[in-house]
Amino acid sequence: MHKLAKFVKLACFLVVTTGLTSTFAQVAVSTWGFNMDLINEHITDTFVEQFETEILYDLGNNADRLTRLQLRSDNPEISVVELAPTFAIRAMREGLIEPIDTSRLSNYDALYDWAQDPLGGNHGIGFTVYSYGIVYRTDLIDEPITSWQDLWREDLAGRVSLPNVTTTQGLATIVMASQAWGGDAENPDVGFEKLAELSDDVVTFYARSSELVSLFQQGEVWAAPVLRFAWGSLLDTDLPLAWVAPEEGSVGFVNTVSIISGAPNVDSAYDYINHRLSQEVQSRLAMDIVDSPTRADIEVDAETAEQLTYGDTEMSNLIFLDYDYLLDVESDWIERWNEEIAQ
Amino acid sequence: MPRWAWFLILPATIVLVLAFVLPLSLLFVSSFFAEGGFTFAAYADFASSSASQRAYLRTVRIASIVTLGTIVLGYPAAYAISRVTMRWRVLLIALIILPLMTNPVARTFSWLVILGRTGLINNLLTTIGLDSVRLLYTEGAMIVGLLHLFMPLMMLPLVSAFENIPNDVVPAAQSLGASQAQIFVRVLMPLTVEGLTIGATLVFTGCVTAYVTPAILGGSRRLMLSTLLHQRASTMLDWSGATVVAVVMFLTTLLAMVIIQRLLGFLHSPRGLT
Amino acid sequence: MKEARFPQIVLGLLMVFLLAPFLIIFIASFGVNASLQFPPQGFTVNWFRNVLDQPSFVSGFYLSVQVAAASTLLALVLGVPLAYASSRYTFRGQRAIQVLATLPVIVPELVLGLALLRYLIVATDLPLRPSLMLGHTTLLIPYTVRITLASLSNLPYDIEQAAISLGASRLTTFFKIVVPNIRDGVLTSFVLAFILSFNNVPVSLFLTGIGTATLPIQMLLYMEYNFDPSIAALSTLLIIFSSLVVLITERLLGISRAFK
Repeated sequence: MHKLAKFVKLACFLVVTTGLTSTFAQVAVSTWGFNMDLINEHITDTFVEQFETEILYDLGNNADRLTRLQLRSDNPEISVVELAPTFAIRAMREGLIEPIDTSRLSNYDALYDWAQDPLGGNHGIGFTVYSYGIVYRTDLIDEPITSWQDLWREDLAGRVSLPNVTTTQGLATIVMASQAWGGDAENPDVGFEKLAELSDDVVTFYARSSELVSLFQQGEVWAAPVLRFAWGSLLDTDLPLAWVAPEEGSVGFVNTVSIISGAPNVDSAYDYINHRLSQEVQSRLAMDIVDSPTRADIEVDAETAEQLTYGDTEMSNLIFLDYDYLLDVESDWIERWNEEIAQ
Repeated sequence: MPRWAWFLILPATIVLVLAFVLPLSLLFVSSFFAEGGFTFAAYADFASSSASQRAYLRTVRIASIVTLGTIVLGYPAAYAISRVTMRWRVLLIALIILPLMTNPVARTFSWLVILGRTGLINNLLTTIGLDSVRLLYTEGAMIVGLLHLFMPLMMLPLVSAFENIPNDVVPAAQSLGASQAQIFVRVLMPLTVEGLTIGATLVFTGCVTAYVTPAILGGSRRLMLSTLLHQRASTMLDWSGATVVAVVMFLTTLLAMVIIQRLLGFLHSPRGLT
Repeated sequence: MKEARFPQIVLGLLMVFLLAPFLIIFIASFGVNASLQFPPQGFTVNWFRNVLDQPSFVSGFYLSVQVAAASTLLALVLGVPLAYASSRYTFRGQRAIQVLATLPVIVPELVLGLALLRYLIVATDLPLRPSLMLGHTTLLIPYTVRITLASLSNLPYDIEQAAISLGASRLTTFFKIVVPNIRDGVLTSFVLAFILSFNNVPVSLFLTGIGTATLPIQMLLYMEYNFDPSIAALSTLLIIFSSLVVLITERLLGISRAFK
């Protein structure tokens, strides 16, 4: 039994934990965790310097974080939350986030109009934008892709991947398919029909952008609708790829930052949001291709701009969807997708 | 049973009741309450949806095939492991556990490399002059992936069971003139049926509840109950809808456990040695 | 001893099947290209360096080891006695308790994670680490109970009774007779439970707090957006780590022993 005792001791030793105490005030932010090292460099570190407040992060995808916020809503520990469109609307409807007093944000007026109040009632402020376009292999597809309709082309059959309905861009895909074939968000029947028709020729419906990168990498997929923030990862494959802003227009997604209802440390929450929107932070994040800015006064070089959703021309082509409406129809559309398309 | 023996049973029971039965029962009860009233709506929705029905049948089909597959492949292999020297046995056991240790998404990448259209198998097929075939995003791919993932759960209990059979049992039976088939049916089977039951139960339930492997290898066109549950929970944040799926999964695996025990209990018949 | 060849051939093929995916990950983790690729181009160990440079991976690793060690031990401490009592005695509610100890395996873990958070942890304000350990312990008990039961079923009770009738105390009998005979089963369940806990995603998903998450959760986060070979490198490191767990367990407790 001697060995067992030794083993138990070892295990107990591992269980003993060391607590770290900090001298700074703290504010907790719920966010994705995408490019965390750069976020730390450009936001966390600069924030500590300026406000002597440390940022703690609660990381995860939209759904997991929102679920955790719901369950802890009686006694929130987190002050600020960053969410993608439908999830932000959901958080607003459930009263998880509260209106922001924009007069407390000195950087508010520098934002594009569409970034100032994307959710309504000042519940959230857009801090980054990304467009939804189509990426394709220029070496394997001769005739350039210019519109959503091209995804139905004969020469692409069996080479296309579409996002799964459960992704951030899932509902937008149904809207764009409808728009391409004469319908729209309110009349999605034609979109569902055309997607069902295409379904057999779709390699797979991808669930995360990293999955799509490997599908391109291994030559399984030649063309797919993609969110702009994945474009950099796709370029990393060194494949001959092109980005297309489709004729039907590029859907623009705006991620918002909000204050949690009943949040602790509200002052620091405002400081954080103002910092997130500041010219310095937005410009540093843009340079490193973390987030595309929602301020008009950010300058980046052409090569960087290529990988961002950036510039007045690009901005003017963006279409913003009505997520309030999309959230209403979401469960019906997913059910319909399961019945008609994913079979 | 002596009274003190309750102290062996109670701690685990209390933990399970508090940290398992109680929270889940509350969640279960909550699935009947929507918009302030008692309702079966969530269950009715599930039963009437053809997508749910397909997902259900697919789940049962795939889980059964994978369980059978792990038995057919795992049984002889576990026997072989139990007969090698201990040094080798440790090594082999360590290697068998690898699939469980490999990160699910990284593991799926390797299936893409193996099963993909330009993958290893298709390369092999085209080099020997055959046409490439679609392997990925099929039920076949899901079965292969799950078979790979859950093989350890079958192998480990089986190896344990085989190790407990004294080394001279098989030679003794042979010397008494038993055929290979007789040894298998009348000696090995009865002595390993417990391990087999555990293995089959773990594999079947694993297949029913596994998420990442079926989601990525099958794609969203081949929904299983687990992928359906995630869709409801993680996209729609519809937890009562997700709980319904969970209840169905739970009942399915419960039924499967009973069937497995009945089937294998039959092998554990008085013909055996124990 | 003459052995049939057939089982060995099956084992050989099975090992190829089980190991091939890992070999691909291992090879791909040395690729120079910024996205995971097979066959890889060039050779670099930078991705391994990158993994060790990520504070979230390092802190996640420590948390995962702590949680896995604690919950595995707890599951053994709770599970082995239960298995022993239920194989040696008959008592009221025996069947029910055996079923109860198996149930956590058949509940979808994601749902268990949610139920735990919603109805136990939020209600009692339990801190994160104990919550994780409790959640994982619940999941692991079926494994420790069932595998120990299987080992016990092959150990006739007569032997223990003989020892007791010869004057050995119950405790001595347990440690001198029972433990050596079920050691393989207990070790198997230890290794399996540790690894299952260490890799668990669904239960840990909701038991994640500000600045703290287990390694698999950190990996999931990383992979949501990155597809560089770091994940392959980390997988490789974890496999080395798990092999170490198996080896250390073997060294400390003797996972295998001479044939009886």
